Amino acid sequence: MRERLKKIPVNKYIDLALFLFLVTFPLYQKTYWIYVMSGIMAYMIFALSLDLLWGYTGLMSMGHSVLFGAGGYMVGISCAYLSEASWIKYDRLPWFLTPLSSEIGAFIMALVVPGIIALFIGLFMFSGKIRGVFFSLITLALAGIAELFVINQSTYTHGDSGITITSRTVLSNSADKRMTDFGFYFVVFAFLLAAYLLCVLLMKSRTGKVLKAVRENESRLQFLGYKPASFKLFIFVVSGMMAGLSGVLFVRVQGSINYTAIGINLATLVLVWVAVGGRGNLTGAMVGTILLQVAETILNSTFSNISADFAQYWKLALGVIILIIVFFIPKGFVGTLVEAEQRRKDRNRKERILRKGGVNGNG
Amino acid sequence: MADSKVLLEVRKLSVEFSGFQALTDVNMKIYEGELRVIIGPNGAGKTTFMDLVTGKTTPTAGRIYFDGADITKKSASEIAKKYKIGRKFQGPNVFDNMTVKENVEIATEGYEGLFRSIFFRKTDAFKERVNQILREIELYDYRHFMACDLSHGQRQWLEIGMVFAQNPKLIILDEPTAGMTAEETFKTGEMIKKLKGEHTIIVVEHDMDFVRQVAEFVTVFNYGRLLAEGPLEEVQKNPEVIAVYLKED
Ligand SMILES: Nc1ncnc2c1ncn2[C@@H]1O[C@H](COP(=O)(O)OP(=O)(O)OP(=O)(O)O)[C@@H](O)[C@H]1O
Ligand SMILES: [Mg+2]
Repeated sequence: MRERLKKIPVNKYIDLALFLFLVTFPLYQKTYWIYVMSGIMAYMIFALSLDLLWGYTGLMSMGHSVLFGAGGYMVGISCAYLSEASWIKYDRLPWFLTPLSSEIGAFIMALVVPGIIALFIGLFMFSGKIRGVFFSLITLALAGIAELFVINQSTYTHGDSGITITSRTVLSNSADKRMTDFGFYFVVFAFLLAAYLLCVLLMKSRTGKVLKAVRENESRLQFLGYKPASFKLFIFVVSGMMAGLSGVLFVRVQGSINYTAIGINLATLVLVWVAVGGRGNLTGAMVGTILLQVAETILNSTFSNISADFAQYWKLALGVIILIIVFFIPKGFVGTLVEAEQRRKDRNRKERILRKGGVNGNG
Repeated sequence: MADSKVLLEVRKLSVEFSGFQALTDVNMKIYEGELRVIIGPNGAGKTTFMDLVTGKTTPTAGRIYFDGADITKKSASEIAKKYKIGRKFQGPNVFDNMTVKENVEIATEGYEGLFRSIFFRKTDAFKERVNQILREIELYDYRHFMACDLSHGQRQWLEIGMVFAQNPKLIILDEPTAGMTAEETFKTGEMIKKLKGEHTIIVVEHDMDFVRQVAEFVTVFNYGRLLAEGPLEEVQKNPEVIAVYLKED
């Protein structure tokens, strides 16, 4: 038993602590913080989805918000349509959006549409052998394009004003159905837990190992008989659907969606969360998100309490702090911790091997 | 050897890199169960030859036949998976930030497709096979180390083990003993000799002690051409070979 406990890596204990913290959090907090933390948990799912792609597979998407926003907008458009928002001028949804007229349909579309977008981007990128920094730059450009696209398609997206969502439930889009902040918190929590477990299972599987191998040495993998492109496509679609889900949940919590949810701003934010927490261990993505978003919320309110002019500068301060963190611990908080543990274990193993060699003679 | 089957045959194989003729009209046959050693000075085209056989580079002229099939323009992954040619690269080429065991597991044959990998569960037979390979390459005690934390020689062994794990019909080893101590080199030679007969092997080496240890039949490359071919004793006496390659001995 003790041996088995010893084998569990340190970040799994952090995960456990984190989930215990989150599940008890609303029991002693005010509604405002329950609401804030619900949004952060939705963001944590988003960060996990990026970690699958960037941390594990080495595909640094700089436009992951496109998939988050695509999910969010599906629910947004559906909500606006069903509750007959005052700005709506159209009578019927276009044929490819007709599923949005049903409640279940909207939820499914919010997962499927980001999945399809990821599929097409992936097919284009991976069969064209676009790699490394080119992948990042193209995805970044896509985030910029998506932002302009939703502003221009104002018939359905209400342009840069965005859409207000009146319901807060998982599925329903009618205005009269609304869960409490407290209730919905646990809905988001359940989704986060499920997403986390899915990631753990997936990354423990052989597929997860192959994805790591793609990150480490993609061309070597081909000579072992693998087709890296199909693995990359697979994880991109999974990650895209997960990002879509997080978009839905976030929009439900926040009660609105606009172009910032699909654009470069959020795309960069999620990169920072994952970088600060640490890539490729799931824990880092979650810890980074919670740390930086809580810091942002607190700084935002303190600075705007001091004076309205001051409010603009806290972001600058936070930016500098983040730069310093990434500079001094490029592996992020959790990444550094995990590495230190691996080092210690390696040292112990080496000692054991040497001792064994001593007993057996030369070795 | 004449009566055994030809496993690999290349005919008039040539490749040109933007004007530079790296390989010219190479004809060669490798028989099933054979251990062939390829030698030749730096830049002779030995690695390029392997790049062509394993699908890394496509030839500008000539054909490659393996096990009766034309594999000339096949992709690297198809050549590895379907035709079963395994290759160790010059200078260790492994998955650095993964453990030694994970490296061997990834290489183990039979689960290369996406769907098979998703539904893969480690069986006892699979675990036993991985452990057996780890012991063969003397890295069992090091199985939880990251590949990047191994010594150079150990990394070479790891990659050799990965090629074993692929269970290929043809094993290609590009300078497997580079950077190894004399003792490690000798051990590697014994490892390779053990495989002889069961597997067909092509080895490229510079280390002449190693070549003498394992070689029977040798092919010599020079300036992208096949200079000489024959049993080691014969080739060693060939004045042309001595002039371009063996003179320092
Ligand atoms: N992709 C490439 N593009 C251009 N030139 C290349 C390429 N690959 C190999 N060459 C050239 O082809 C020649 C043969 O190289 P190769 O690596 O096959 O030699 P080698 O016999 O393996 O030598 P060594 O013993 O040093 O490994 C060299 O001059 C090399 O520079
Ligand atoms: Mg070479």
